[in-house]
Amino acid sequence: MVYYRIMSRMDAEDITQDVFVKAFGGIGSLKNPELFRPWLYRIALNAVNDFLRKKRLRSIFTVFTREQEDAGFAERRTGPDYLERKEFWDSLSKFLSRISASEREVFRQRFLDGLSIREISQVMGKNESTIKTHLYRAVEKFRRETELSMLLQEEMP
Amino acid sequence: MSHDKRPQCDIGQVIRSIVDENDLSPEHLRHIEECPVCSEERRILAGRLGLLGRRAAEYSPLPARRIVLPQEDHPLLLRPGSGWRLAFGTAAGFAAVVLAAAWIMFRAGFVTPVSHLDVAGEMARDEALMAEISMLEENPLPEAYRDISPEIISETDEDIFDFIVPVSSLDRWSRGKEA
Repeated sequence: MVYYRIMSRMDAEDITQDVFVKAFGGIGSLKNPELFRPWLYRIALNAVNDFLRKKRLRSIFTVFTREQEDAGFAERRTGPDYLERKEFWDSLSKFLSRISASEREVFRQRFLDGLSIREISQVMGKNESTIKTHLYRAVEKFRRETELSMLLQEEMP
Repeated sequence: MSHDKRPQCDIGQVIRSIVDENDLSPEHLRHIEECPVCSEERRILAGRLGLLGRRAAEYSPLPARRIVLPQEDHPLLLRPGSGWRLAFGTAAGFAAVVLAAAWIMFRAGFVTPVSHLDVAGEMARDEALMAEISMLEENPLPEAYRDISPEIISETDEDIFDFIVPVSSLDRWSRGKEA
């Protein structure tokens, strides 16, 4: 889930490490074991948001391009499925950029991370009706999204 | 004229069935399952969403680095989040030491409470001391010796000196000193 939001393998690994260290340190504060998954997601989301905030701040002072960021993974650009992957992530990014922040987060958690409605409501601290409303709007827009739909349609039986 | 109350094809209901089936009434749910248009629409949309999740997982790189968690038997100071505890403990300990030292000094009499009466008494003693010093500056001799002090003697007649110490003996004494 960290990679979906960061789109950088190195940063995703760093953040994942931090998330598990924080979770390990704070596991004693978790009273209800059933809430472990939403609790861990909450930590991860906070870590991702912190990272993106710092990255935005850094980008003010430095010239930062995605090519430079991924320069360490040049070998992965030559693989046979590189174009497929690139097309998929570009299409998904375009779609997600066209919907609101709440819809985007709920859509990611439901269909990319595989969380249930209840878990999403626990992670985001909102009631289930609100989550369903955001999800409904996001799915409605996803249905009208031609580029991504076409890409997935080609692969469907 | 009769109205058909059966649910009609509605893409909104199809989307709601994907978001949460429990939100639909049994009639709408049955319609979506039985209607070929709605069921096909539902199958395609749910299939794309499912495929989206699978592709996202498939196209994400696997972590190359192992996650390293801190050891359970690490010393207290090295545990995550122990920094503020250490600072708080140090500050509390320092405050306790200062309070204990102040209490001990107070009990031992190093620090005594000062009242306004004490201050007034000390000022009165200072004034008396200053008056005594001024008086000594004017006349350093005690009261008993003032009658024979040089000032008083100088006012007397020179004949008295001549009577006490004659001039001839004075000359003899001065000559002997020179010799």
